[in-house]
Amino acid sequence: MNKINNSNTDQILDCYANRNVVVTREQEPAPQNEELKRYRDQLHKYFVQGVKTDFCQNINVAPILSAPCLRDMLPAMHYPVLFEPEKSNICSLHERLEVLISNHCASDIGRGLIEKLPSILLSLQGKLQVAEPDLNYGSQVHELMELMGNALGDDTPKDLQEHLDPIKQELLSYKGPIMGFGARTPFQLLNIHLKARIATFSEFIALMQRKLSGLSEIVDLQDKGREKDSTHFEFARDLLSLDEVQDVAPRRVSSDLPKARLKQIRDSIKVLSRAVKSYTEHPNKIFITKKLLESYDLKEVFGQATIEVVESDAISHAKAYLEKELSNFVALIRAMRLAELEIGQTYDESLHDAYFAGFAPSYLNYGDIKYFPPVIIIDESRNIADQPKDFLSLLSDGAFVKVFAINTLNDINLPVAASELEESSLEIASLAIFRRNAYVYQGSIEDPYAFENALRHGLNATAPVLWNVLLPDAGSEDGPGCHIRIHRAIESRQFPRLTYDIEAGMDFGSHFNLEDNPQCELLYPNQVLEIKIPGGKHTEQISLSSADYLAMETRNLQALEIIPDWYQKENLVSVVDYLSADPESQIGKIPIIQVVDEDYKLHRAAIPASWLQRIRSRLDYWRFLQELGGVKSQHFENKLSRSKAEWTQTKEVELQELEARLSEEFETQRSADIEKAIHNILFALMEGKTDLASLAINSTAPAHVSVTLEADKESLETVPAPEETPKEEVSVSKVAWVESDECTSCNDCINAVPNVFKYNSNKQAHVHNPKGDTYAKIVAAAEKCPAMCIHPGLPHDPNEPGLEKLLKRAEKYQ
Amino acid sequence: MLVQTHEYCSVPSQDHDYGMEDYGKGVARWCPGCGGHSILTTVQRVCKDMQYEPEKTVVVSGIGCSGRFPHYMGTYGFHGLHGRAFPVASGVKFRRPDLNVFVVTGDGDCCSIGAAHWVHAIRYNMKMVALLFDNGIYGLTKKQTSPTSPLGTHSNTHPRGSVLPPINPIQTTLGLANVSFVAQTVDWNSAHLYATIRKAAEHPGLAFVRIVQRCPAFMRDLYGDIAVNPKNLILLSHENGINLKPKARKAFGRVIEHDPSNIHKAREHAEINNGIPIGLLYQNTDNARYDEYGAHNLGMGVEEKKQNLESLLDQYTTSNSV
Repeated sequence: MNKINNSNTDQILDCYANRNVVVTREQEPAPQNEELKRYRDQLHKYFVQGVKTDFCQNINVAPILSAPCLRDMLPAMHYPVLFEPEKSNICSLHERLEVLISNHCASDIGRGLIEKLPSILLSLQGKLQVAEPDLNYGSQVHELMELMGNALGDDTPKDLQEHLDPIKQELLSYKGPIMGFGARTPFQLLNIHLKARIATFSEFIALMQRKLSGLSEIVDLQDKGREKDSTHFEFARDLLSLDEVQDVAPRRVSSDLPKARLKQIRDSIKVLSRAVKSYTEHPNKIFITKKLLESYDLKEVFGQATIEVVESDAISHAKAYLEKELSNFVALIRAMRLAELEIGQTYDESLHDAYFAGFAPSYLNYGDIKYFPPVIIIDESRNIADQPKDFLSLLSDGAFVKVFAINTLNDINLPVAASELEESSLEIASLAIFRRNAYVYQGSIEDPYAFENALRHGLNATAPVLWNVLLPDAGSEDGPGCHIRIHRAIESRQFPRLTYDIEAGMDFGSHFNLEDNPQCELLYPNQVLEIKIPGGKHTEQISLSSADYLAMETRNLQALEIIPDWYQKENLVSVVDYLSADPESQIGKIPIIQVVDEDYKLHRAAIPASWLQRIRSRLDYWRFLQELGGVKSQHFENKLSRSKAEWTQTKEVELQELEARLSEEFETQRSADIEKAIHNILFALMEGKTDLASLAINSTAPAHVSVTLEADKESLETVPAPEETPKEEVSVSKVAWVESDECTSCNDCINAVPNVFKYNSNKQAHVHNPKGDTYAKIVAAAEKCPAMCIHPGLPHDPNEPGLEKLLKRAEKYQ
Repeated sequence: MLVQTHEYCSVPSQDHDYGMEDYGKGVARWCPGCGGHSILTTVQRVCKDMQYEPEKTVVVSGIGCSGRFPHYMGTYGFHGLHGRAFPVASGVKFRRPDLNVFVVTGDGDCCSIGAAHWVHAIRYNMKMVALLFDNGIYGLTKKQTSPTSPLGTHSNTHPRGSVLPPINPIQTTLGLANVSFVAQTVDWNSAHLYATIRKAAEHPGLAFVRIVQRCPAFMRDLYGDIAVNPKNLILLSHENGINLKPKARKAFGRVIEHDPSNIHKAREHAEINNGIPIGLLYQNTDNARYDEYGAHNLGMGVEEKKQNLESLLDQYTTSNSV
């Protein structure tokens, strides 16, 4: 049966090691005509009804997608990864070890170790999988060192420890942990990042404490009825700038605050002290369903304090909690603002009473929202898809909630018959995108760096967040096997990677990103397969469709009809060809996929018509994403072909006109030349000259006409350029630059376009990043520069609006 | 004459490589395009290149836009009384000759209310760099005529145009007794500005530098054309003068050879009125310096001072008092 699905670790190792296994294809002699006809009829019957034929071969096959024989198709295994708390990101353990080994080991031992690294890391991956969850970093490193020692074998010199010890010491200094590929890895990563975020709250807590002590001081003074001697600060204020003495102490405390204001201050003190407490104790809140908690055994990962276990309805629980938290947060911000005014002695009753009385969530600004403690929901995608209304309202309420939606491999690859209901759960990412205010990431943990990036981005975002993540099934221990399956799910467009980042750029196109998918401009990615045939080898390009992916499910695989090798007819077409053909030419065709048996022999398998519905639906979704992401736009292509046709037509007309003109000019020129020649000959005869060669007429045919004609012919064959490129002068630099020597350090450009201009060590401006801002801003800076030493160059973004005007304005300063 | 020593301060300076950031502080709040920004950066660059210890550098200013200058320097500073930048600076230098002193003063501060102090500061010739920020207008108080405003300047005090001819600060300084260094430069040519202030900082005596400065808020028209067209600047060039790199020299349309030891020629050039002569007009390194007479008892300990005072008083006591 399917080698990958049922494999043990050795076979997986085998599958990583034997990349060059070549599949073979044999041809058997075809049977008699009558049998062929019978088979064809039965095959059609199979296609329509799913009844297997009498000829169906009873052999064990696996879809080619999971076969190890596809050269260079095996995804790189990034795991295990090492987390470095100091840099707060993960890095590849493999690369880190390579560097360490080459630094510390003698060359031959080092080379040996580096060669063996892949298998060492795979065994470590296996150990990490079965090890206890609370395996600490020290023992992880210890395990690794042991494996490395074993890999060197017995015949190594005795000073082996001396080589390995410095590596161990340096590894220990990274402080870890090492994470293997597994179902719990994403949760571990999430937890690590949540912990790292707590540090960012400390600044906020310090601010709150400062306000708290400031307010308490006011209240103390009120209670004691004495006035603080503030002469010291008055003096300081004259010397220092105002910013520096703010928050140091109240400026002047008047002795008679009205009661209402005093009460307000006391209330704020209460709010602030409560907030300080809650921020210090548990800033994060995670809602998780009981089922997930138990199946992934997440209690140890997150710790008891932060998680709240709910039976099933995580979203509505989170919503209720959020409402409460939001009102607390608004009260907190209100207290902070009040404290600022009171401490600064700028509270104006006529103005601020009304402001604080009607303080509403809409008064919060971006800087405040940053400090809202994250609320995280961990739930299965299909649960979320079951209650789309609640989910969408959660995203749109301006609620600062982060949803971690989980799809498992089992979820996305169900038997065809049972799958109809589950389709919607695969599309919650696009559902969220249409709210247009959430950060959305869909992807998986097989690329840990992208996943970690999305986690960090999402946690820092002030928008609601959805991570829709594909995970191995809970409890599965099949590391590399799962890794391949996840990779194939992404490759076959079953679970495409996508991000929607509302903070990137201004328009939808720059928010939405589909580029992380392999060969994203195609329907399905193409792979090169090397096939051994009798008498040689050849390579074939195959597209792996979602039909291949469906076949990875055991029950689906059993429904396939293996076609005997002797049946070679034109009506067998690949699934991709079948789907992209128009409905009329689909009649009579049977879609097939490639499968391999245990001896790496290639077979073809027909798929039943009942699968097509599901494959089409996934393909349709992928096309939809392509259009949305601008990877491939039908509208654009239509328009392009239309304008191309128009252009060709006008050029043809011009060509005909030119040809007519040429022949006319040629005729007149020829008759003139003949006349002149006759005249010369006659004249020569009369004069008695015999050197006729000197009388040859240099024909003055209109050469320029023919040249332009040639040029036009050439340009007819090329595709028309959509825009004329601007004429470049030799002296104009392509990018903006500054004559730093001339700069008078007036701060104008630095303040106006800080992303482009920066000061050098002499505090004179230079261009730091010529693409840091719009061309319009660069030109404006050049115009404003008092030393006129900014040269805007040419625009870096040809699509910037109003370029023509800008270029004209920039001319003066080039 | 006393022998100069450098042990007036008992705290030893640290061996340190100072960068631009050591001389800067805060954000300069002059108007955008103000020449002050340029001068500030240049002074900081000179300090960096001369490796002046920030704790041994003092910037003294009077009142006016230029008066903000010490606030933006990471050195010691004194934002003084109106017109009294020179007396304060002289006081500092007189008792602490080891400090590097910069005087920052404006056209109102120096040429109007502080003119008396200007005369005597030049005569004292203490080693310091005096920078006259001359924008020809009172900018801080929103446009009133200053002593250097060109004749006919429309301002809030003279809405129909000023009626008196302006003071020529260069010519005036050249006429004062014991003058030792007079230079003129402009804020919008950073190469020349730097070279001038550098030369001034190296001069043993009071180096008076008039910086023709643009005021983009109130005197937009005064130097507008000149700033755009460098041909309106006349470069005074000499091997003993302010030396520019050949590339920077090229920018000047008109160059006059002028020997800075010739004070008569300098007075002639100071009167040029069809352009701005910039460069070193006059330098004499042999003039008397009053700061060399100031700090003669600074190395003395407290006990010693007390003793000396007692012995002085003793001269007035009579042995047989009643």
